[in-house]
Amino acid sequence: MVKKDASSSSPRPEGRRRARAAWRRRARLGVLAAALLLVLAACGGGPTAQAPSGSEAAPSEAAPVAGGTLTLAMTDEPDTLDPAHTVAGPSEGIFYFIYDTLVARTADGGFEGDLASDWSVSDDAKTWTFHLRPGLVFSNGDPLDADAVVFTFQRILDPATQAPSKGFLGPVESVEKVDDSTVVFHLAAPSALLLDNLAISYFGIVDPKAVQAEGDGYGRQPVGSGPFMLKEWATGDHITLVPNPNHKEFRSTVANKGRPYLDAVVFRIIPQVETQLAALESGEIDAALSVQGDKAELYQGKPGFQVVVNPASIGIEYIFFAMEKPASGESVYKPPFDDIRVRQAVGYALDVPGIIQAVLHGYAVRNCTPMPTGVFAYDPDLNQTYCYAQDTAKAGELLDAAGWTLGADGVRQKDGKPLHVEFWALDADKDVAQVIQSQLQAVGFQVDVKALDVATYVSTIGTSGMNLGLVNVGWSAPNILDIMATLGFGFGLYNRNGLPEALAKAGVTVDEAARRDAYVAAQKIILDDAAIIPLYSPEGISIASDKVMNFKFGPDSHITLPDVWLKR
Amino acid sequence: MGRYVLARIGVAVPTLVLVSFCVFLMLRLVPGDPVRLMFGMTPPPESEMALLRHELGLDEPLLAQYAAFLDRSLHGDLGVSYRSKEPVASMIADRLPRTLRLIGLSLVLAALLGLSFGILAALHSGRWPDLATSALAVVGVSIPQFWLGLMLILLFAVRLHWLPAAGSATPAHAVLPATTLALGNAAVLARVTRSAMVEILGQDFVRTAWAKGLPPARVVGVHVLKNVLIPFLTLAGLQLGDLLSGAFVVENVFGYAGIGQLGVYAMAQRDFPVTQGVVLLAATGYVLVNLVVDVLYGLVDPRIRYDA
Repeated sequence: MVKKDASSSSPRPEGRRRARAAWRRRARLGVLAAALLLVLAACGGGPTAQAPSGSEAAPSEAAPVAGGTLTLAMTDEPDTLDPAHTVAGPSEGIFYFIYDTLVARTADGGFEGDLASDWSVSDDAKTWTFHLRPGLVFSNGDPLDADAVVFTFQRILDPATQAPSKGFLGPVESVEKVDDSTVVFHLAAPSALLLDNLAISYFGIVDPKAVQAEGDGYGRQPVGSGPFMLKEWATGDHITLVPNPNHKEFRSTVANKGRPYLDAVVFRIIPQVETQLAALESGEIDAALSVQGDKAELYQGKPGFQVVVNPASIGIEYIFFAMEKPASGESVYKPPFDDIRVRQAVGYALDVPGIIQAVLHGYAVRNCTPMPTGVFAYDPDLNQTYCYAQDTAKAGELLDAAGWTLGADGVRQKDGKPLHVEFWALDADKDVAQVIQSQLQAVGFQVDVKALDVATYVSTIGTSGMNLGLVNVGWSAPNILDIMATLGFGFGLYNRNGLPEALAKAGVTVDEAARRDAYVAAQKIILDDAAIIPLYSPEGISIASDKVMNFKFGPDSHITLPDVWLKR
Repeated sequence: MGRYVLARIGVAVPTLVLVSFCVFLMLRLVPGDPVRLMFGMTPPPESEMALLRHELGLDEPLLAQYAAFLDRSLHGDLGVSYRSKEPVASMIADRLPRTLRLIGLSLVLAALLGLSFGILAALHSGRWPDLATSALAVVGVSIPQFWLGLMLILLFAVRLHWLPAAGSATPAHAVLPATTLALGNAAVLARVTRSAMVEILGQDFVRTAWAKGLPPARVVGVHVLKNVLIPFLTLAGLQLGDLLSGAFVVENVFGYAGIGQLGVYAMAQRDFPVTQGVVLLAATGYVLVNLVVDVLYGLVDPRIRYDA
């Protein structure tokens, strides 16, 4: 098609070749960057509501000064600000400030009324009645009454909405208005988890008029009653919130009952934590909301900065074993972990405190129970009783007893087959997985590590050759155990030793003490069978400039922004 | 000429259809269920996810899904994001101007740097400016963009406070990412400029020009440069596509809200309509640029003939 004079040199093939080589090079980098993003997405993903906590930041002595703009960095952009259309972590991170919920968590892990002044529950725990506070309005002045509450929940329950948060409402069948300030939740089955779920900002109350007026555009024009309201959403760049003049603060965990001190809060979207920290150092942002331990260590004690840690974790990192679940009956462990001694040997082989220090730079709490340290029914006694201290000799004895004898090459064998396991982990956990690999190999396992992005991991793990997996699950309520036991792979297929029944019982026990006992009993079932090897609860870390005052985590794992002020 | 262009467009359309099919298929072959991912670590019962898959049409046979997608795309409807429920076309339209600004700026930078260093090297062929330029070019081509980006941020944003580290709000925000994107391409352009120029400097007509006593600026600036521009323009044009792929890395390093950032995020979430839209756009851009380069080629070098 292109004909050239024979004498003219032909730059075309050379250009093509170079362009193609460069393309390949870029493509590889693209994969790398994508992987990095997935890790960040994994960190930012999922619910981030949080149980009781304090903060390590020293309370500020000086009187707060009003004014100024606080600029924060977040790794991922919210997909929508319509709570009926997402359960993404970044969206929840904004919902928390623009919406109010019926109830809120207190500092000691209980609940208090937020939009609701009080509530009552029927004896069968199937009918819950909430009384709204008088005179509530949305940021645009529309009334926040029983109609708005009913609209919010019926919209989520309506299958046509396709609300991904619908499942969290569990057995809720309908929400009904009794009078302008009273709503009733009707449940198909008793649930002790309703308050836990209603306190999460996926169930923030939305303005029906705004939803109807904006239609599909509501997700970019949200209207709530929270301490802040949306001023601007510059796609991919930033989201600006300003104080909501109509907000009334009822939560005991927020000290400032008046208007927030800040004139505006800007959430900048910066995917790479390294870039966030550069922006922090150059003064473009005032804080990076979520960073890893290795970064925090660099800023610990650095003049001009503060490292703020949320010690009460809602996450649990644990090792699980491949299982199969027949159509009926009990699920079974796949070899070689069908012998409890082999599972226990994994526990004894690992030096978890060493991993926390070396890989996580100390930013995690050793937790030997399935319940995260910051969640209801976390039991310190259980954490003592069931903890595996590293004991390689004991691990060896257990493996010997299970018939796995040490071969000349350092790999154990049984009936001529090596003790080979495929170990799956998320990219974000790769460093931890590699240490675990070497510690397991020291007692005679032969371990292949597969580190994968979140999407691939959760979608293919159930049908893979995986024997052993590492995962981190985060949830603010004790039904995190139900979540773990129904993930669909590994321990997520577990139905042995009466665990489903124990969890079901705990889920309908409303009395607090009895409920705690029921969850402890369920944890014992898991630990007695060595069904998982819990490792630690990771801590949330933010790094901020030291001119940001009162920068601390509230009971829901979010910074208590209404209390934050800027030193001039 | 006109017939040639028409024929090229005739080839471009099936190319784009093929690309769309490959992307469509690849997205669905890569592990990762978009519906499962919408729920993070806490999925609802399988029956509910199946319902959602049905609503999104993900339970239809692949070919039927593709036919529907193709039909909609041909009518200008790229679908709606699984996540934000926004129309894909408007999500892309929001971000495209910023990516174009980034690519345009880096193309200009790469051309200026490539041409200057290439000329410098050729004029001092075999001596130290040539060797230094060669060394620089090797470094420029080899440096990973995410690392280079971070180093530029450290120097110009953190140390010198000259430019912002991240974001895309103002034109100043495009400078560092565009530089990061430009350097690798500038290195390639410098090498091509140099080799083309060394070859041309040795030709008879250049010797004649020198012999006529023309001033050096005229010999180099007019007689030589005109001929260097042919390979230079070809390569610079082809690099546009290259810059677009580089934007996927660089936009993420700099938190620059363009279509690269959108594409990477959509892929991580397996938001198929958005990923398809972004890749389709990139492919269209690449095909168009190739077409324009081929046409320009003929205009710059009249010796080239087109037979459709």
